[in-house]
Amino acid sequence: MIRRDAPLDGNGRPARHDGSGQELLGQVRVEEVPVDDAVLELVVLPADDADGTRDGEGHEAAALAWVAACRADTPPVQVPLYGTTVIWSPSRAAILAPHAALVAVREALLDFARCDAALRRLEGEAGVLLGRLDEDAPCAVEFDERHSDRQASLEERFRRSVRLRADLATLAPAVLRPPVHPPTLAAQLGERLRERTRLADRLEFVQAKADVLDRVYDLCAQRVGDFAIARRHLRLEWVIIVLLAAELVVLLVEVLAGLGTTPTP
Amino acid sequence: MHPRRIAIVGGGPGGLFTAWLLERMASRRIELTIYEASDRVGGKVLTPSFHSAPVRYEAGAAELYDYSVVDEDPLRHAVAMLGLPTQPLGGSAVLLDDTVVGTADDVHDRLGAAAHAALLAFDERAKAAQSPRRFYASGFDAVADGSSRRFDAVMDAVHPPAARRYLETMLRSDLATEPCRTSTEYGLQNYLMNDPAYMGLYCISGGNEQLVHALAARVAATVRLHEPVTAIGCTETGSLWVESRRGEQPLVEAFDTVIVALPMAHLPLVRFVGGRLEAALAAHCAHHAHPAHYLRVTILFDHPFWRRRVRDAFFMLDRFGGCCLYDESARDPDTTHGVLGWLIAGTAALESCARSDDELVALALDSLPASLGDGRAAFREGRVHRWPGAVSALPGGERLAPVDQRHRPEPIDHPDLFLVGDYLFDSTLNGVLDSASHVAGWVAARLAEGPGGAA
Repeated sequence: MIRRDAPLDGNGRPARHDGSGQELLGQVRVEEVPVDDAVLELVVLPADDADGTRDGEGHEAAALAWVAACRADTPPVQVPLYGTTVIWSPSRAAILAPHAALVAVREALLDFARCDAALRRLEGEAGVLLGRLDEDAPCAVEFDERHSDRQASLEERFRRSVRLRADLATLAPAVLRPPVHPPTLAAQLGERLRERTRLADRLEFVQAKADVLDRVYDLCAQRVGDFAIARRHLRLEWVIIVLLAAELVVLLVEVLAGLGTTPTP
Repeated sequence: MHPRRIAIVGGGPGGLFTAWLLERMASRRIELTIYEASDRVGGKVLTPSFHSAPVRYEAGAAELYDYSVVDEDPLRHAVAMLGLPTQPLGGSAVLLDDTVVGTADDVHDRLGAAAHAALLAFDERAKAAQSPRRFYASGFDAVADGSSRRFDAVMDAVHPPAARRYLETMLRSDLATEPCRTSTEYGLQNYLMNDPAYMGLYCISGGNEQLVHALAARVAATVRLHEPVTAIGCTETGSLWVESRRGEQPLVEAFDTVIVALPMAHLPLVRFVGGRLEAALAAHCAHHAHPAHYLRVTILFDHPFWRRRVRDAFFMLDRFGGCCLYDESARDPDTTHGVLGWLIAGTAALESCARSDDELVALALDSLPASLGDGRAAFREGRVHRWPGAVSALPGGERLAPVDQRHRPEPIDHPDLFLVGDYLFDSTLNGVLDSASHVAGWVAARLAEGPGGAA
């Protein structure tokens, strides 16, 4: 985990002074946390008042602007809950929480961010594989000599579709975990982030895509296998033919040799 | 072949559900007549608007229960069949002495470690007593508790007092009565309904009254508004008659089947004629009359000032003996106004019924904790809806009658007289659908068996 200190204002630029002369966010620490194959920039701002009535609206606005400034393809998700606020986008997030809740909220946010990042990666992977589907689908019906140069790429995509299915199976328990009751702050924030980003629905959609990929590449693998077996059989048949022909030649030679000799009484 | 004439007494959700299901299930022609005393159908499902702004609020049933997390949910299925969009409702905050106790962490931090431990022990006990499966099937069981224990015995065991107060405030508006007047099982169910593993809550987008509108639009029955039923009896030939009043004029009509879909509180207003029938209905009322009370105060504000501290769709408040505050404006993303609905329950609701609307609105405004914001500064309009005796508090320790007996009080001389009501199950819309479904299936089966039936 990399940590760097960054003075921060609403646009992610060095903090300036507001009208009262106080720094808006001051010197805050930006963590760079690896989540799946991405990196999340995280800012944690302890709130002054555990009841959420702190004079933190300026902090919240600045944190929201900082998260939004990363220009992700999705707008930031803001979840305020009983004095704690979490602002999240795929590459930047901010936590404003009372001191006592910081550790648990941070863990809940990172847990969610890992799920989301993994799902995003799988969504991308499913998209890439589906993009090649029209090209590969004919091979699910017929595979012969004309397609033999595509065997390696089909095997590669079959392997990737199986990997996709395995990764989805690994991710599903984290996305579909049951709600915690009695509710804790961290669990509630995690649940609300999952709801707001529709993780369960998105998982279902990727699973539906994986079903299609499974079907097509499973058939492709069968056709490639059938072709390989057929080709081996063909070779074997030729070997047998050659052997039979050789045997025939030998027999013929023997017969002809027999004709050229006079039988001895 | 003449169609079978069926009367449904009561145009609330029970009557409408029964009519809708009967029309779908009947294997022969039926002619339905719905008697409704008021000027509208829908009963306790009511979504009016304020006078000063076109902002809706729920004046009666505020939410529907979603049991689909456990098993099949007939109401969820019916709502989907009717094509109605829904939205989930959620909230866990309890406001105690102007402090927001939103999560178990807050219980620990603000009420103390002992209160937190007591909450976890109570939770464990509730879950040990009832699995989600048992919770799901509880309305159909013929037993209320299996013991003579009432819920107050369970609450008495909760220490320290802060934990008990937290739990009582959380549960009060769901119970709609005092713990000493309900069973352990029912009390624990009202706690467990907050756990998403047992059930969820949702409402219908655009107002819950969309449900009764959708049902009424699909039912081909003759609906007689402003026509209260005054008496029901049986002729010597065995057919049933219904006496109603249109204006001052009494009317009597004969029917093959009569289904009484009235709230428990209205049942005694109908005279059941005939010694055996009268006795059966008296016994039915005595068995099921455990009235629980609600009162709703709903206030329109210029803006939702409380959301700075609480953003839940509903939260509990330690005033009026414990009440639920619904953020009605959270159901309508287009409105800029704020609407809070106080659901006052139990004795506090019954006692408040005598107060004037202005008094109740003032009391509601006074009950808002100062830290939520200044309600009076943002006040625009207040409305009050009284629901005394509208639901049933399942009695502590008593055995419930078997499901068939609940729905057909006198099977010997009046086999075609049925009762439908939410009080026969759990006083919810889900319960009234279960009741309507039971009776509709039964009547449809009798139609099929009778002369001219399919069987």
